[in-house]
Amino acid sequence: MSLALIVLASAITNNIALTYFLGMCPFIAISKSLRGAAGMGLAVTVVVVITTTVNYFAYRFVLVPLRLEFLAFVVFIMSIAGIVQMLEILVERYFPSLYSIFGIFLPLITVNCVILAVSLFMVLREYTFWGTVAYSFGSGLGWMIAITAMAGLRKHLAFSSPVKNLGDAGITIVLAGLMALAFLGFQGMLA
Amino acid sequence: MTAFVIPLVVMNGIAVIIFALIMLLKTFVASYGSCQLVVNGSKTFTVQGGTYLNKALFENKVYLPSACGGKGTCGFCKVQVTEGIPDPLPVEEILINYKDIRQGFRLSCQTKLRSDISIEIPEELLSIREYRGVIRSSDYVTRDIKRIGIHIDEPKDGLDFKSGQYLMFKVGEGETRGYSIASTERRQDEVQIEVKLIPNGLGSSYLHSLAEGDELTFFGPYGQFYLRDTSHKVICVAGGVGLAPMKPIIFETLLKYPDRDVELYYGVRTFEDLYDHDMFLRLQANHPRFHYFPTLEKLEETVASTYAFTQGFVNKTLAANLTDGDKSEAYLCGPPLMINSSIKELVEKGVPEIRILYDKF
Ligand SMILES: Cc1cc2nc3c(=O)[nH]c(=O)nc-3n(C[C@H](O)[C@H](O)[C@H](O)COP(=O)(O)OP(=O)(O)OC[C@H]3O[C@@H](n4cnc5c(N)ncnc54)[C@H](O)[C@@H]3O)c2cc1C
Ligand code: FES
Repeated sequence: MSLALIVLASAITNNIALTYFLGMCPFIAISKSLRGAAGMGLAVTVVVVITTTVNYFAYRFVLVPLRLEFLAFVVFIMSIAGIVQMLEILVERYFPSLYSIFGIFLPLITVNCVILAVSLFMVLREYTFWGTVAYSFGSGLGWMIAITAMAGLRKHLAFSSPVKNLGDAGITIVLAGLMALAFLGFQGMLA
Repeated sequence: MTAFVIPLVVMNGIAVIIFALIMLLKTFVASYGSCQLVVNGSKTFTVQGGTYLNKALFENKVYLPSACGGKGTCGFCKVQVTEGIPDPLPVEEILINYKDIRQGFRLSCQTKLRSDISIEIPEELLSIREYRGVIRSSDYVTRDIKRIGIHIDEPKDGLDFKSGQYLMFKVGEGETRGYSIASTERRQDEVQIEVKLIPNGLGSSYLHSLAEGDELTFFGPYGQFYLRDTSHKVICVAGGVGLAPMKPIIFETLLKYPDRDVELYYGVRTFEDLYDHDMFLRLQANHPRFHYFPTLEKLEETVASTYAFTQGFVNKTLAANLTDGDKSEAYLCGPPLMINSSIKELVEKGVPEIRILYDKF
């Protein structure tokens, strides 16, 4: 599979938010404002690319040769937590204006399931190095597309009056379902 | 044996590498040296970079108000940054309006000091001090409101406040909550507050748990909600424990201004939630300039009083009794809904909007 196809597939047809329904809590909670959603999406994309690449090396060159594949879970979680913390320190110091956009989301990402899921899928699907980079970038991008689209839709919710008892989160989940249906339509595109 | 040792070594090795990297970054990258912090162009402090602005100010005895413990949710700690303005954070854009963001207003609990900075704060915040007191009395006045009397030990010259202002009480590590001063009698070394217990509330549970002799720390006095020195009629509108700041306002007006009338519109849910009712009735009997209008939301038949209460919401009583709106100024305190509906009524009665002051609880 060519790299472009991997990116497109992971971003659109197999969108991590809308076909796997991963990373739902920030998806619902932070899609209230467009700026917040874009910041969170950016943070997820950056972190998922870096962590998945690092985890790729850890898995291929440490865990597999030593036949310690069963440690993947623990090692991935540790490296994600560590990398997020380092990234926060670096971004805050050297890119303060970037930090003001997505800095506060970085600590939240440590426990975002998208990040761990992409590392685990990377192992399952046995990607090459560049395949891993493409897949993680596509997944992050896909999640960002989904959350910013949701934020855009929710802006319009302010002008409509949905059934009262559905509340704010309820109607958002219904919307997510409709968006997922729409994304199903892309399935045939990359057959 | 090796099957056991190798995983252990690998796990620990990875953990140690990650840990070492973080520590390296923390020591060499995340150190910002010291920064100059200039307040109102007159006071200059040297503070450790990397700390938050509110902490840096606190350490230098500048006590900003806060009702959320620095979580960026109350907006009380807002300051204007004039030099070294940081980019606004998403939380700040929620709490501060666009115009103020452009003018450099930021939340001090969210502003990390990375370089020299100059800020402007209202001059009166510079005179806020830390007080230490001992509980003198703590009694229930309704089933969920306690009146707490505090003797001020430190500083020795006591507390000077304007009627209507509030104090911030330390209720936990880094957590403060505001409570209005409810003293009826003006004394430098004594202060009273009234606290309504909120289920699972950190601050109200803490204050309710204190007994006679217990010590506590507070800061103040804060607030733009205080009795103005004018000749207008004073309209007090209180809901529930919002009665607290009205007492200093009412008593000061009656004592200091022989020509100003005072009207108290006081709304509670049921008769059981009403307090200081007898005191206000006596006050009304003794002072022809004081008028008292209690309102009960629910009027049960078993009420143990012969007083003819009005039933409904405060704004209804306000509509029925208020005259001379254009010669009045209004002080409102209570739940947001009550305040909003009462403001509407006051405006309709001709009270100019700039003479309507309120504290929403
Ligand atoms: C200027 C000012 C003056 C004040 N003066 C007084 C006063 O004189 N007397 C007084 O009792 N309080 C007063 N308050 C309110 C007080 O500061 C606290 O907000 C209140 O006591 C709740 O704090 P807590 O720590 O107990 O609850 P928290 O731990 O902060 O909150 C616990 C939960 O209760 C909810 N909650 C908070 N407030 C209320 C409420 N009013 N009703 C229902 N649910 C609530 C919160 O959303 C939260 O879920 C004043 C507030 C301000 C801003
Ligand atoms: S917003 Fe509450 S202290 Fe800063």
